[in-house]
Amino acid sequence: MGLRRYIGKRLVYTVILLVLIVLFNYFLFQVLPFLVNCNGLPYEKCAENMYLPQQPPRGAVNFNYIAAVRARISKDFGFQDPLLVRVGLYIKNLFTGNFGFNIGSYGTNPVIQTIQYAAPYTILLIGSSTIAAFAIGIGLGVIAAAKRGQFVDIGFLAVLLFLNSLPVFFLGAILQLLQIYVTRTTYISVPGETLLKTGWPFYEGLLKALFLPFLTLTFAGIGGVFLTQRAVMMDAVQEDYILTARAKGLPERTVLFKHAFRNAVLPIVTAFALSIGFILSGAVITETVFGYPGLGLALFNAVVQLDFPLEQALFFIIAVMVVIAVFIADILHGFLDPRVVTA
Amino acid sequence: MSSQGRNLLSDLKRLTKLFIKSKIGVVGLIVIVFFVVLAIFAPILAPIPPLDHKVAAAYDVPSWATLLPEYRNVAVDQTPIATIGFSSQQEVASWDLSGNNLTWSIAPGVTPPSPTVTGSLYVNASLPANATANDPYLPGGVVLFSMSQSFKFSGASPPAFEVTTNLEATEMTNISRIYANFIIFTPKGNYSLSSGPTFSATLGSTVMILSSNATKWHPIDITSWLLSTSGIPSYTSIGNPSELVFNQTGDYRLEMQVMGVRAGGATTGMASVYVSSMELHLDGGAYGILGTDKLGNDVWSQLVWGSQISMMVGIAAGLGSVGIGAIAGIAAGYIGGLFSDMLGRVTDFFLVLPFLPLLIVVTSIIAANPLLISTVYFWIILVFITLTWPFIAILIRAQTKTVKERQFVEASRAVGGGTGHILRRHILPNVMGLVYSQVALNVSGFILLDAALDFLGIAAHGRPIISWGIMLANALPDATGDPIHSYVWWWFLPPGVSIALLSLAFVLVGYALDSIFNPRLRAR
Repeated sequence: MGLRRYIGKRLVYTVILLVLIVLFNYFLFQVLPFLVNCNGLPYEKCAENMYLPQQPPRGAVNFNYIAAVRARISKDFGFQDPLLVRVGLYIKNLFTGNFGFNIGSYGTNPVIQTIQYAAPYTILLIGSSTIAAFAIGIGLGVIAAAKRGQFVDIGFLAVLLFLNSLPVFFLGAILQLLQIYVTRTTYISVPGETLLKTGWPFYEGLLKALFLPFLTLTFAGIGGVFLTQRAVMMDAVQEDYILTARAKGLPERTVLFKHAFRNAVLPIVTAFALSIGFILSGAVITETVFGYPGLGLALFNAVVQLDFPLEQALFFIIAVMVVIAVFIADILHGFLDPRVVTA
Repeated sequence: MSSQGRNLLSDLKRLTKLFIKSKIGVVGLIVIVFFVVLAIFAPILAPIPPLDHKVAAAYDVPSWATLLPEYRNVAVDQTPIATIGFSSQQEVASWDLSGNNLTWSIAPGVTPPSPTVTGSLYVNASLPANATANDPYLPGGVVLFSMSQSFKFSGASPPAFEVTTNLEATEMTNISRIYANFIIFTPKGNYSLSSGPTFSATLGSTVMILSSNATKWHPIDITSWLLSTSGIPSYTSIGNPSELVFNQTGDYRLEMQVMGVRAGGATTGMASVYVSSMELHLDGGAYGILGTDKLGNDVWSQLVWGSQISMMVGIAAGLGSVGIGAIAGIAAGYIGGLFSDMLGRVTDFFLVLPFLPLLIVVTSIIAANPLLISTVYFWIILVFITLTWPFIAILIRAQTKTVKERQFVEASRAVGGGTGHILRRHILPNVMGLVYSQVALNVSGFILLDAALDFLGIAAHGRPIISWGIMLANALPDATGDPIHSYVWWWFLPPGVSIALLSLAFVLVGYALDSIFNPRLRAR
């Protein structure tokens, strides 16, 4: 099987997965609202009630407005149509980026706006911390593997295993405490006014807000990367070609980085591609602890407010990102390790 | 059968021997056993209900912390200093009762019948005609009667004190309102506490109506409204009154004055009053094994009882998930073909599901449903199992496949070994190691996840339950916002460290088991 056929096969799997995910996402959020607040109403009525604005916009005549919105909800959701048409409508809406409106504000507050606002913050936070965690984790892993069984190795292992089993929220809280202890002021997540500013004050405020969540996620991420890197490096160091390289009299540095590391890099590359995919889902707890205005916090707020359209949209985006990341990881795997393709 | 039993026993012996050799495994096991003992013997180890408010003063440091220089001057909790409740006649007799035209009696179970009434004091008192109002703080009040008791105080200055009593007027003639003032006579100067107008019992003619809420027996609870009797005649809030009042050892006297306000135009008045459960608490600054939290809950008790949820969810979900995963994995690995392919596809699907968000959303839905909320942890376990078993199944499938291809299996089949025989004697023994280590690793993950759900307040949904995650969530605002109480380390650290330790312990045991069953790792 050639590389092209391998990619083609993975592509087919990916498309099938995407379809399954979309269907799952659709039906999950058909069922979930029922469990909470439908009180035996038929789904259409329940959805109408749920999505109705709590307050009509100023100037609207109450009765007519509500009736009009009801009609619009019914049309938008396709309540008159058969199930298949409804699902089709949902998929069509996905392609046009129409995720509906936030709960209680039908027609005024589209979900996509909330996501567009929050996404850059999350990408900045998780992107930077993932890169940092991988850089540090790989470095420490190589060092530990080179000094296997020595004090450095055991020390790294103990500290990072402990860091790894600290709950993220506890780690975040401890960092908050440390900051309070150092600066002698109470912790403020992101000062609201910062985000309204422009230019340098905005970036300064953003960096301040980013600092602790970034540290938290980096510390939380190092452990896993370190353990993987250390394990694969140890495997690689025991291979025969390393013995050969050493026997040739190559310097230890060359042996480690040119021979061993290049062969040990594969699992880390796939892990990195995967973790980029999990960018959105990993941030819920950290963002909530720090009040950082990203997608994770948006999801938490959506859960608290039972904002189903927003939950559904976030789910879709998260799942699609993971599917794509898995696909990329597979392809990378194929490129880096020809054995996978021929298998 | 017996030979098989002996085999199992010798296997177990061998396993134990190998396990004891692994240092990290033994350390992990000790930690796990410690927390299991905590969870099981919670009623013995922590008899104080974890959600009982005010077992001591709020924000008490642990009693052993007084050994530290920073807390050297803190008094260990001493509550109550004088038991002055009316549980028996003797205790009433020790009170000095004085007043105009006073009769009093023990009133066991008189109307209104209520458990707290039993043994209360029933006082009939009348106001002298045309007596001048003598309450310097609340104009119009006249002392109906007063009761006092002396006590010795010898100890360090407490950070807080509290006088509580139940006071109820049952009959009032020409009196519009009844309230109480407390006076503490100290060796140096006198201080009084007034219950203030908001706490006073009012009633029209003879029907009892309490001003603030529906509960008939009204605890009067004053800590901060402290006035010097020789000082300012207005309600002043003093930051730390107890340092002012209990600043030396010696003879003190607590007096409660029950005041009546005459109805408009009347010259005399009469009232019948129940008094019970009068107590003076001097709170210490240090309490118990782990101190107290913001509401005066016992932190040690919360830690012990909170371990139950983490343990239960972690172990149940770990066993369930690995159990189902193992069965599916072994079946898929042994049978292979379509079944194996299907398992692979299912796993692919589960892999891309956003695990934590899905968990949060589903749990929040369960918690918001009144029918499901009481069994929310059962559902959490179920969701954990549902979302994770495929990952374990493919791991075990891979292991089963490699074992199945080994020569000894082929040999066994060649000499006529049946499927059952091969599964039992060859596949299972070689797969079980992976299964054991997976249970340990998964329990660790589930403990962290459950703590996260509790921390976010999703699982509990405001119900009165306690777990480590909930403790952390409660402590966080104080820990990060209140430098006055030294960042409440005794409240904030134990649950977090416990979560980390327990999950780490399971990881260590998992690694130890892994290296036992995986000789390649053991060689290292």
